[in-house]
Amino acid sequence: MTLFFVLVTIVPSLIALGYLIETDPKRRRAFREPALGHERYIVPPLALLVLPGGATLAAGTFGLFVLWFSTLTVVGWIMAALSPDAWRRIGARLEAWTGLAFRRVEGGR
Amino acid sequence: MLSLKQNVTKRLVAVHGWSGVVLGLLLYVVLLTGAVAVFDYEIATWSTDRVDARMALADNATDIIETALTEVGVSEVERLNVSFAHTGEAVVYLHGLPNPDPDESRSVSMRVKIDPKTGEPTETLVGAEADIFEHQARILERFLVDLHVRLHVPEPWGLFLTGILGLVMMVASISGFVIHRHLFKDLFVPERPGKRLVSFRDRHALAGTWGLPFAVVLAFTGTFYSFALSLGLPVVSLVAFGGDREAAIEAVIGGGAHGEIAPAAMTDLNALIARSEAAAGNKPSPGFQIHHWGLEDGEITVFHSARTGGLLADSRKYALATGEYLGPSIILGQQPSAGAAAVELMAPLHFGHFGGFVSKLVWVGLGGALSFVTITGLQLWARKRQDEALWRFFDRVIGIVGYGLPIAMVGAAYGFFLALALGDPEVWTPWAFIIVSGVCIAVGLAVRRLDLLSAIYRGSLGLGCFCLPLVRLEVGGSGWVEALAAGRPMIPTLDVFFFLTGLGYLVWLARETVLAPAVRAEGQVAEPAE
Repeated sequence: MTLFFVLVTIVPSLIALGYLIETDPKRRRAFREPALGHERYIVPPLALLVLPGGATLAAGTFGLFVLWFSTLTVVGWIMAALSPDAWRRIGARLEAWTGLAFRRVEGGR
Repeated sequence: MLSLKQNVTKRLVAVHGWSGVVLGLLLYVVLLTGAVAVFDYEIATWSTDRVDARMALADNATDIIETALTEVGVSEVERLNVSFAHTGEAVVYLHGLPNPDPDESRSVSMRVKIDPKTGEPTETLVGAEADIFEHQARILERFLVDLHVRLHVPEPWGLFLTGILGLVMMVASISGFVIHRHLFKDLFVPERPGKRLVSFRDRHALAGTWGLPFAVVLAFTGTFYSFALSLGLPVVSLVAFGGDREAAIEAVIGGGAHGEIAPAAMTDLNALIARSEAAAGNKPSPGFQIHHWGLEDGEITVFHSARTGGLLADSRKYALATGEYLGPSIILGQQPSAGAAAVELMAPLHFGHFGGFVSKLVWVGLGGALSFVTITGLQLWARKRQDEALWRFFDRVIGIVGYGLPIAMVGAAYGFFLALALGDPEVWTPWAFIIVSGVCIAVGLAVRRLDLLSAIYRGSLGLGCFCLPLVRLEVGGSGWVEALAAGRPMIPTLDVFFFLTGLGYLVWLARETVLAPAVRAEGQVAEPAE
């Protein structure tokens, strides 16, 4: 049951975090990725990032909040520590295994 | 993060760096063993050579108590604990019993183990309270936990040392937060390629930034646990209780009333525990503690883990004579207080056991991340000073300890399992750790090429992890089917974890040493032709 609640709260946060990592300007500059071809959204992904944690607090489930926050710090670190190249390789493997297309946020000149 | 004057930043960098350099390697030992110790219960179960299904307390509590009291030959007991051994036996600890030696005034404690299949006592041990908690099955777990808690330094110095390490970690965390000028800007910047100095800085800063909130939490709670017993309690007992440590403990954690108390019939224990389990969300209780069994002021605390989504344990207190619910169990003092709540909060935040396996897994990740921060911080400091021979040697030492510690921990597990079959695990577990550490140090000093040294370490760690489950099974450890039948999925889980970790290291090593050079060589041949 705990695993279910953790997944329900952490998955939306990690999706939002993935977007923020992928579109981070300094990260893109450091790895010579093309600049974003569109405006970077900040508020919606930030809201999606923190809302599940807020919901656990509002529900009075402090254990779930601590678990959500700690999972976010550990998985967030791993996600951020992987270079854009590493993400590209992971995406390619996932595509090969599942047949689904995993698109990265496109850059533009 | 904060805007500071240059000289202040410089001083803080020095504080941050030197606090890490002086005690950083010991801090790494405490952090990595702490990450492993999160699974202390699981390691104890995994390393136990025999597992039986446990009895349900709600059906057997009365029988367990009666069997233990008959075995000991008393009808009233000052304090009594019931829990389960990792083998599945019910274990009853009875404290405050009259000393069998008429010349000795000090009370004794007894431990009675009860077979879950027959309900008969299998072992009775008399001794001082601290001595009867020894379990052969827990030797490996205890060795690793003691390494984390006191680095195997005698009491109280070991606790002082780990308490100081906790303070160092707090200083390093807070100073790191203050001196990092681009905390949010660098939040998503991974290690830049090239193994340059900036790559080491990226690695350390990224892991440190993400781990910062829990670094402070774990450092604070760890320091509290180290100093509470080694320093806090003696000081409180000296100041407030004239040096009477037992009186201090009694006032702090409660010890019941003194004087003549009338005997009384006890309530139906099975029904009481069933009621407590129902009230705690139908979670089976792992054990209970009783004060004054057989007396009219007798109380029982039935232990329960935190509810789903909760943080604090849901243990409940009842009167033994009437079965009346007295309220939630209070960890400190006799009344609810802010101090008791704060202390209660320390346990889930430090041990990460509030959400079962999931939260423990996350806490292992946190411990691993903080170990990584420590090692990369030390590497950064040493690489910045590579032109000095002393720091080049320190860089080598970081590698030796960084890889040597996990290899030596795996070595201790080998020592334990082999000694289970051939000798005394109590002796050979620490010796195996020392011998393997010695070999790692000798190899680390003898092999000049760092890439070769790293390959040797990774290969040893991979092979050690990969073969460990086979050795466990070979010396008579519980098989997977047997373990699953007894409700211990952790045994095959840990076996699979070691298999995969070992395999992962070996594949990594093969890719870097065999496959990658071959691919590079092919590339070099092909390049001029293109």
